[in-house]
Amino acid sequence: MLWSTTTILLLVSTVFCTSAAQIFQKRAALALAHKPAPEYSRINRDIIFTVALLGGGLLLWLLFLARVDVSIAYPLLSINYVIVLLCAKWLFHETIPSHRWVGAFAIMAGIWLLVGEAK
Amino acid sequence: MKFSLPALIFSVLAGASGQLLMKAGLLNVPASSPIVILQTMQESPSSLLLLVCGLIFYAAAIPAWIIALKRYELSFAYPMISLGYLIVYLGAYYWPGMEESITWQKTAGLSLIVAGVALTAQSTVQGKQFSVAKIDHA
Repeated sequence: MLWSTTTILLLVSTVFCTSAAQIFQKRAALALAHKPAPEYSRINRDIIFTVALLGGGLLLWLLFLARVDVSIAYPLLSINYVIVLLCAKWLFHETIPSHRWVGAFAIMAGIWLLVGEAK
Repeated sequence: MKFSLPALIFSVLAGASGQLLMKAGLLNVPASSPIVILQTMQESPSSLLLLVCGLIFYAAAIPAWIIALKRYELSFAYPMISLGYLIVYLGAYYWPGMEESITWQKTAGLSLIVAGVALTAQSTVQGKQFSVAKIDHA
């Protein structure tokens, strides 16, 4: 496989969809655990967003998977962890302990090694 | 809540199996436009069947993941998902026709990712961070 504009665009757009879906999924799970009365209207809305994003991401993902080895493609989705970490920092102003940045760096290093093996 | 651990395990296994089945369905498909892919699928029922099975597994992993997240913190649940990469790595090596390579560079890359995900998901590096973190709803 060669890295082309198409494969890179497919990967970037898939990662965007699945990262956004993670945030909605976690919100739905938290709302579901809310005692005494979960807000079902909010849960339903979050699940609809999740399904829409996962659906769109899935179509893009299949186009990517048709072009790249699955043993390389699947772990590349761990870019999501780094994206969500950056979102937590810059959008939600969370305090990020330093070990998380070390973890994000390890993920990016691992991705760099995997990308180098893509043929 | 007693289904939390089975749900987590199911979510990881279904997610990884789903990826392998989807790839298996796409093996003989030209890397081209969605229309060409759909046409090829029409002419190859076995490819379509594998792809649909993969999609069903993938879909089944999502509600299981939400059930697992009700009980487990992300610091425990997320690294479990990254273990699915290892399942896919080995599966893609042994799957007839897929036969993807196992190399030192890929193994090192995967190890860094699994370690990185585990580290990123930890809420703290002190105290009981390596125990099974449960969310207390009481």
